[in-house]
Amino acid sequence: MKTLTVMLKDLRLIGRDRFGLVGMLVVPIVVIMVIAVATQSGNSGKSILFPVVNEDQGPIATALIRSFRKHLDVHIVSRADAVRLVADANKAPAALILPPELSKHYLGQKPSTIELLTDPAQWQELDGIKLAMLVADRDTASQSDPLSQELLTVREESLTGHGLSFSSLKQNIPGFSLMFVLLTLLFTVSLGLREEEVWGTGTRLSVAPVPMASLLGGKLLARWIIGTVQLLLLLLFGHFVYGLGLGDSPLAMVAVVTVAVASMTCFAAVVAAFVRTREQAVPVGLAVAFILASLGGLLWPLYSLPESVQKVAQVLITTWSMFGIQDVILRERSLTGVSTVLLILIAYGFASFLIALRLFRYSDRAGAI
Amino acid sequence: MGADTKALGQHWSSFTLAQQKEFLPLFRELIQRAYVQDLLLFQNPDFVYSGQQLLAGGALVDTKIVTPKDQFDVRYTLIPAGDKWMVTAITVEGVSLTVNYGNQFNRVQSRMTADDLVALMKRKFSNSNGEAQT
Repeated sequence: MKTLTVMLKDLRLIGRDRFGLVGMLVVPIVVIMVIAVATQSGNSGKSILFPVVNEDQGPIATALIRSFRKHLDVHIVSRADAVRLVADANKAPAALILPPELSKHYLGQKPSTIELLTDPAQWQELDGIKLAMLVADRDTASQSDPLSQELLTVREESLTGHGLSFSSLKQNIPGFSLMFVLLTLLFTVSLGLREEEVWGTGTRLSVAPVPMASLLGGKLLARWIIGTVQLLLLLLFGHFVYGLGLGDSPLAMVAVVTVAVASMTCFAAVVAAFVRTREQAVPVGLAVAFILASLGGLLWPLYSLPESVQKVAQVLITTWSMFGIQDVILRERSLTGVSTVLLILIAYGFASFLIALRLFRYSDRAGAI
Repeated sequence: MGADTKALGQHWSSFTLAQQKEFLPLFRELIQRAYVQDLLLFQNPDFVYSGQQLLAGGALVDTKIVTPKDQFDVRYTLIPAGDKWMVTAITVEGVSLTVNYGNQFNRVQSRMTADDLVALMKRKFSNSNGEAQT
């Protein structure tokens, strides 16, 4: 009952700050929109610009270019433009020179060398181009062999969901949403607890006949509710504006969001216990949020990090929160399917709450101000 | 001897009459498609007649496919067939299509029967028809 009273009091206080509430949604939405524009890759391979200098203009060059166009954004350009696009403008990861008499040599079964001008700094796109070149080589060879058989046919089947493709938005929207919720929790829990000291209520609260567990629990409950609503609204924004799939089970999604935010709220209380003044809240909150976001796979996929970092990430709350959301969104898991992640997050949250309870004290010095 | 029987070479005699009858129209279709497909890859081609040689029992006709950047030698080997001439071999840039197809047939024949070969050709046609419709 006392916990509920504290929670309702805190919710009323939070509700008075309309600008703060709107900012909790608007700021992450603006960031998500900027990231979406910057990284959207809906057409996957076709977004890779591939300048081709066709000095051959024969049938083999035509066959190669036709094959490249299935996977890449091919532009036929002059040699000077190809060099400019790769070396000066850095717009294309590579350009291909199809030399004169390529077709003549090919049809006469004489070898030719085609030149690939590259910008190795764009290594990921460059790998995509090299794969497309292998496919084009195979396509062109089969042209002169009408009896060629495809002995291997790839049938792709996702074992974890219906979708076979991945858009960067599926990483960025949940990742940035989680990061902003964590950031908000770290700031607001620390500041909310330390503000009691500034207002002089901290000392009164610490001697009031309210157990510390009820006091801290009530305050965290209020932040948990706000954080859960914030995360759900951000994911719904991603769903309606960018078509982000939210999985097959709304129940699993709500459960993961609710438990992840609960766990992060308790974790924020542990951080708040180390923050002694309001001034420390911002730098400490920023540092913790960005370290946990970058190591926990919120800013980029976890698998892209070194193996040693991935091992360390297994003990982070952000990693498991992201696992849970990705299990629902990408792997379309049900409530049962995410039960392990939920249990880990609950254990994490419970342990964090106990640690926070043990560590957090209102400062007498601040209360005397 | 047509391009089909030339391409099949030693394997032709191993075909039964029924298999030969089924194979010939398929092979003709295959050649036509491959030839047209290859021609379609040339950009703005001009076809130029460049000479002929009469030989005992046949003739060679030399042509060129001329594109803005290059030209490709194409030689047709013909034999008289009644009041017409029949092409028995096409050589592009010195490489004979008949020899090329013969090599492919040899490769395929070494691991499949005549019936399998006919089935493979039928499958290729149905696949390319499907692709053409899409």
